[in-house]
Amino acid sequence: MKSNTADSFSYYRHLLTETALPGQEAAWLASLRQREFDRFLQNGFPSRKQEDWKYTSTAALANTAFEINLQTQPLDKNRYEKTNPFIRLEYHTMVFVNGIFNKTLSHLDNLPKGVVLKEIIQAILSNEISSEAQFENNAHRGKPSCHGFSTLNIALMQSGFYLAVPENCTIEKPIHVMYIACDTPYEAHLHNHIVMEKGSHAHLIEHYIGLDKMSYFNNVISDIFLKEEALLNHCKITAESEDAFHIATTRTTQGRSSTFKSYSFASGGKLIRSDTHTLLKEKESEALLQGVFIAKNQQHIDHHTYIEHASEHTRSREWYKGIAHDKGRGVFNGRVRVEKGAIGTSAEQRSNNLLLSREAEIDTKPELEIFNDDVRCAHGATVGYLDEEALFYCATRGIPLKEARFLLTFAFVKEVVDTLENPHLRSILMYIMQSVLEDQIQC
Amino acid sequence: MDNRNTQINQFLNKEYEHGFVTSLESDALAPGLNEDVIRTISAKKNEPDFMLQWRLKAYRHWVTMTEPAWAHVHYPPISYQDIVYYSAPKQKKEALKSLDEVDPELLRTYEKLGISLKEQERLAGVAVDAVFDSVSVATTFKEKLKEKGIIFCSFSDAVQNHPELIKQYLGSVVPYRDNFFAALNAAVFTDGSFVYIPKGVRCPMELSTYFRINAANTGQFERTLIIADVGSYVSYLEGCTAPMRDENQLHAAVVELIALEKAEIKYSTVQNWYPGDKDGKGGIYNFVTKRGACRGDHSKISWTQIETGSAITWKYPSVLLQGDNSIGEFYSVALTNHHQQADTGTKMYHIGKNTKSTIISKGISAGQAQNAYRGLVSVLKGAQNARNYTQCDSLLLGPDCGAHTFPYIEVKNPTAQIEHEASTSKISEEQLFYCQQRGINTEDAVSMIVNGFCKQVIKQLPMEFAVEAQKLLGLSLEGSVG
Repeated sequence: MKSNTADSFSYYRHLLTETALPGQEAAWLASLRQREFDRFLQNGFPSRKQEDWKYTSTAALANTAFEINLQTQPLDKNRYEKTNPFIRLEYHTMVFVNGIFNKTLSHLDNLPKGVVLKEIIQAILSNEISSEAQFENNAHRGKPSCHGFSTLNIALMQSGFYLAVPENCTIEKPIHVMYIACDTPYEAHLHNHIVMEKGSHAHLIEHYIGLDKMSYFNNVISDIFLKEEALLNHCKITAESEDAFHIATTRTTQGRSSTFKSYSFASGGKLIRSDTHTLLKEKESEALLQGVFIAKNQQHIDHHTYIEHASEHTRSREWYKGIAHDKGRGVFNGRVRVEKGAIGTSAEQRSNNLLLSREAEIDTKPELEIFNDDVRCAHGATVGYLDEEALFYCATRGIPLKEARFLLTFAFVKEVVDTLENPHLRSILMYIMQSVLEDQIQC
Repeated sequence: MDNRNTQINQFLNKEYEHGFVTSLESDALAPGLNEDVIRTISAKKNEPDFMLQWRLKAYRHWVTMTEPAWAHVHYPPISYQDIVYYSAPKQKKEALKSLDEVDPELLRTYEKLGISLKEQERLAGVAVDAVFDSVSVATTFKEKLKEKGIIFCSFSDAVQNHPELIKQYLGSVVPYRDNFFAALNAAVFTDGSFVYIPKGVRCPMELSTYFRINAANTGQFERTLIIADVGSYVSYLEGCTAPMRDENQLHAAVVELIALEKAEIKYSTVQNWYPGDKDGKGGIYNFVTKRGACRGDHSKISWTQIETGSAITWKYPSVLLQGDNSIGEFYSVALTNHHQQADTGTKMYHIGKNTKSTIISKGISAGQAQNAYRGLVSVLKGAQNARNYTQCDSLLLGPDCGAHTFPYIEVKNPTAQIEHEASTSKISEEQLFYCQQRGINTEDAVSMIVNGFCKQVIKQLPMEFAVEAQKLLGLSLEGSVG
């Protein structure tokens, strides 16, 4: 483990020049890595002077860098099976342990014909991703989702997955991708690339879970391309260890009449920063972004969303609920931009927050940037404590205060969880949220 | 639609009516800024040494600062060395005893603007301090106010006659280090208004300042300081106009309000600086720092602003809610047309216990204008039971304009209750159709709908101003039906 920024920079450089990062056989990737690294050296990690990082300091992260794994990491099968809440449902499962793909634990046998789901480096080596143009999500270049971490991700990408769903194909069972952290501290730069062809449907669960009390760092990019009429249900569960760092950027580019549904549930990790950026590039595309975060102890959870309405009759709806407890800090920044030609746009944004302790803090900023008049946009934000009257109502029914608090807080979160379509996912998330809250809501 | 667009254009192309220039001899410094200019300004105003030292400190700090670039506005860089920092209409004698001694040309200017100082002197109602370019030219009703112990005079007079108050309060709400434009203002400000309301006095009339930029290439840097002592009340109005010129002119003012225990200050602004022509040429850059401090318990500060002028508006009237049970309010209508840009809003800092704040902001954008609301509601740790309600709505007229909302909410106390709501839309076809059905033409209908949209804010204005504001909204929008 190294201890300061200069060291980590030289470690990164060493990785890039001396060690064989996977996939360097592809010349375009090697050159792209180098360019992204140069860009990273120029700008470094984001600082609080940048508007998008105003509430989130990355100093702690910049000062503690970890080793990056390049070899398969062991994980006991029994331990894995206990960890995977969906094990009995036999979802299509990909398992990453400490940043490295684990083939033996994964379950990828029953995918519908034509669907490709494999480790991203393998996809590059087998020419499924054959050029920089195909790999890069260019529509997002120069936008807020391009920051120090995203350039570093591409420079040092060691794994991730590639998913391609062919035209009009519907994958019935969800795809469950687990990123498990255990035993030894590490740093991982994971890159996911998802292409949904015309009329295809899929349900994807990105699941981050830490098994041991230790500090580690996951830096993730998911690039999502939705073609005409495609539908992707994307659920991200962030249940990292208490001391973990988690930086994730999800960038979606949407084609005509496509639908992107994103759910983010964040409860574990010391520092979580999640950027969800959606470009409604073509007509009638639609995005639904929802999320719940629970920040406790000394946690810092930051959700940034950016929705660009670039074409006619596009719709977006956003709803984030946050809870800050103990010394936790929750940040929400939702930005909606409506371009000049994007007539008939409808955008709605809601941020509701509960502040449960005197040491906790909530910062929320729902932004609208609108450059044309044929729009219907609204946003609302609230920050407050539990409703005194509701607590009183419970008290009159003989429910102890502690329990009443739990009930009300749980109900606050449940509202969002209830909108999930998959009943299994819903009950598992209820279970996760319940256990996080039960630990927390003491008098 | 075409027909409507023509109407819009006619309306949009209406000229600025206060755009005339008064030919007056003026006493001005050469353009440029350095320590000597500041010394000269200070000497011309015959200021005590503490003022000069304060100005110099501000200037030295300003030199180290860079111009902020975070606002949602775009303009070519300002050359601070090409600005004239002092310009005053030439007067024959040292001090004026009555309005009769004021240059008649000047009085005529104010009459043209609809503010007849003479008339106002006779009719009871509003006491006016008129600021022409950089200096205060006349203050009406001085005597009558004096009976109550109220001090209402130009800033320079206050420096001469009440230095102890100036020393105590100047820069106590907006320190010279606050921001780039506040530092510049502190270094070079030439005049402004000063108000002191003594303990327990309810000011019997509206106090008003009228700002006019006349000379070319001058910047107007005025500073207003209002102190409401324990249990007092004052309502203060501010209006502004400028001639039409092709160059942009800078207006960087600072307003400081101090409300002590149980005092209340109501500050209303109708800002109608020259907005530039329809191609966006010329106009005033209005970069203003306004802040009030509710120092005492149960104090209240209320800002009301109607912003229709200026090429660029960059201002955030704020309230520091320091006293327990203090109240801050912000009511704003910002209307932008043609190529105007506005980035305006408020900051509410909840510091004391049981503090309340209300923010109502209405933005109207037409033509190619960009209109942004930027606001901060901050609840600090000790601010038990803070309460905030924010509503900001935007109305868009025409396909090329923009409306933006950037509300910052920072809460560090769980007993706080913060609500924020915003909406953006255009005037609905149904609303227009309904009016037309009843024989109201499109233009009147739009004007009616816009006035309805702003009503919540306009009703906060004193009556005389409300009428003017409504007219102004109608005029500024004329032709923008779409």
